[in-house]
Amino acid sequence: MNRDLGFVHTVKREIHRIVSRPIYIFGMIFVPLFVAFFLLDFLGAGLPSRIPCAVVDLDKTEMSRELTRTLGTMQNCDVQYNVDSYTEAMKLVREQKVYGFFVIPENFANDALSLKKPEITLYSNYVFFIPGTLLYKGMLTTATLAKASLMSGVLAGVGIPETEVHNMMMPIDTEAHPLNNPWLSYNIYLTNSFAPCLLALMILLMTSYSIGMEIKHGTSQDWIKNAHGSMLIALLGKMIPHTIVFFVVGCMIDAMLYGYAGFPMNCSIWQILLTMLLFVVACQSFALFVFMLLPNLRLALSVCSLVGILSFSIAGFSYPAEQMYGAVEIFTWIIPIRYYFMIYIDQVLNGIDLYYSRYYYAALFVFMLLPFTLWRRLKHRCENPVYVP
Amino acid sequence: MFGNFKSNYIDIYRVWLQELKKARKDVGVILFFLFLPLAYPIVYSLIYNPEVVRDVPVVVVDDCRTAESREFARMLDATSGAKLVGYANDLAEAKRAMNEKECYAVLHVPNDFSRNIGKKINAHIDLYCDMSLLFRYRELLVSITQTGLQMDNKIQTNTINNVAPGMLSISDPMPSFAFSLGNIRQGIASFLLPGILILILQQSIVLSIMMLGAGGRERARKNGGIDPEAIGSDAFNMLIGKALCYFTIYIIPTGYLIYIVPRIFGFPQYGDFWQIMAFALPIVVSSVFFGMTLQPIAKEREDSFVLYVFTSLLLLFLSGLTWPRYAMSALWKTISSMIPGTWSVQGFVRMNGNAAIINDVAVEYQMLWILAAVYCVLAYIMIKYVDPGTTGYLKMRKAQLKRGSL
Repeated sequence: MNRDLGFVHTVKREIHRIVSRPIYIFGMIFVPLFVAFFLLDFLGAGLPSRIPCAVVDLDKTEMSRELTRTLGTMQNCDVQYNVDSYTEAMKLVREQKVYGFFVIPENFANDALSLKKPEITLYSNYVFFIPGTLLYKGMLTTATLAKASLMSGVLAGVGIPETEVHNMMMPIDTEAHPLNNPWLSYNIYLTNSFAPCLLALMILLMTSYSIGMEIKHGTSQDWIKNAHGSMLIALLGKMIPHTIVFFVVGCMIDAMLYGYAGFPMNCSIWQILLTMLLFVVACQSFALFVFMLLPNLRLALSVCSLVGILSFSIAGFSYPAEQMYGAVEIFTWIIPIRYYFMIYIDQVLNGIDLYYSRYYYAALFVFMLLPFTLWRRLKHRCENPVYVP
Repeated sequence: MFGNFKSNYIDIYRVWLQELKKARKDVGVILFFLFLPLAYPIVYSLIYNPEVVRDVPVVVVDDCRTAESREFARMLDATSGAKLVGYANDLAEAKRAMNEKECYAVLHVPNDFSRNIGKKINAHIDLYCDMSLLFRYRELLVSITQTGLQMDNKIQTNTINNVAPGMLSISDPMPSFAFSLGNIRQGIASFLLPGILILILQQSIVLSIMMLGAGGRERARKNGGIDPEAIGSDAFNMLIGKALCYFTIYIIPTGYLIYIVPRIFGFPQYGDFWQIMAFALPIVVSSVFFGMTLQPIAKEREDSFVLYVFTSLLLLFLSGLTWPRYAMSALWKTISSMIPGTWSVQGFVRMNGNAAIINDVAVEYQMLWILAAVYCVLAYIMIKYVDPGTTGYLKMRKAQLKRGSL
């Protein structure tokens, strides 16, 4: 009876603390929602198109101009400059007026028609990786088309029927099928992982922050007393309001991704929401564990920031984990977001059987057990609060 | 008049010294200005240092089982991007392998593949790719396209030789060569890290300043509105003294971040050292004033974590490193141009990767100085009117001056 009341008191106390300082509302609600909105809106186009590029036409014949026009029709290329030398084109690259250029050599048309193999050179600026890659694709397609048109002209000239010429050009047709993201959209690819990862960062920070502040301001004794001296009730009472807020925020993020933006969702919405709940609690437990290990507000927050920010890289959203150095890859598997991400890939994106994700779900549960290993240490610290700036 | 100047200099020096002392004994701040720039880039570089994705596992479903189909599979295996890890009997078995993450793509050769080649009809080959990571897909796409073109060339040579002997030179009549500027390996670390280094530098500057400033506000709150560790001077001298102090602290971390780290990990470094250092000056100055403008939002020292750490992600996107600036919507483009990080990254990566000189990054260079001036004024307003860590002290000082007791 008494214990039940302790729980209610602690919950009430925590709700009071949350609403008493705007920083809680900012960190728990505003930041995760704003960043999810930001990512959705910022990457709304999916892929940048019409990348500014230049042509260095040293030939200036009908054929070279046609090549320039073809380049201009590519979805990825926007020919904005026509310059006379490599040096000028390089200057444009350095000034970032273009992301690459296409060089048509002197005597191009003559050499091509007399089969002297003129060489086309493509330059793309990989300092800016995404536009550089897309531009390269557009320029390469242009070069391939030009080659094909030249070849078919010559072959038709020696008397080969047109139908045969066509098949001769491309005897094998290879096709890559991007499963479940046929648009190659960066929005689908990045927002699905970055928005939850940012939520994880804020959960880690706000969890350590809320407990650390009790110690910093010497209110931790009062907190434990409210829970009638039970660390378990104190922790539950403090964390459950956070869990509810973060879970609701997580659901809103899911609603933005799969409802509003209409990202691929190949499992039931209930499964997504349940996964979100497990993920939120796993992140809270992880943060609690960090705080129990380092019961110093600044250190715990530093470690949580470090883990939270590095998660964006080390969880293998962009660079595959299995390609990292072995010693680095290990760290991929110690953070909750990695498991959430794997579940997202399996269940939400690819919609495969739950069976394949069994270990990832199990791992989220294991995170929840972590705080139980060290809670005595935290209790001791809370009963004797010392603030180290 | 001269005496006034002199006393100003002395005041600035005293503020500078006091701030330096505060920073030196504050472990939290040391963590930000020493540990963060020292360790973060190393960890980041270690994560991305393998640079490129190689040997993505592929399973083959060969319904054709001829010399040609096996040759195609072997050629795909020989590319740097793909690696055959096994054959599956049918697509269902291959899908199971994909679900178990034994492979990330399935190559399907239909049973009419060789027959179509013989009949000179388009022969079709499909590669089904898992899309969890675009990087894997990109490598697979390059590999399958290369393999297709290679095999095309080989078949073309044969057929052309049959129908028009002596016309062999027609195969590949217009070779094209591609050069990657600024990042020869097309590596992810070489692309991402130079920009990240600049963002780490600014993150570190803003966080340290926020935490130091919040310390002053905490002391002021405990001490009836007046920070006992503030130094006797006016708002302007405080601004300059503090800014100089942060600038001094960051000389070494800046050099380390923009010169030594790329050197250690062999990232592209094509720029002229002194030109880059000249560009680094407005980077640090604008970030210092930017940080001083933001600092009053942190009430307590630890608030800086909650208030500022998450912006790293936003600033990375807004900097235009991954998503080109010209493709941003007007709103985000405007916001990004108000952040020193954007211009710093834009200018630095081009100097570093494309060997641009200050002239080529004139826009960025000027924007950084303009932002430095704007944030300098804002920081002054903060110190004089907003920041409770300094306003209380300044008021007291003004009253004392009036009474003539100072």
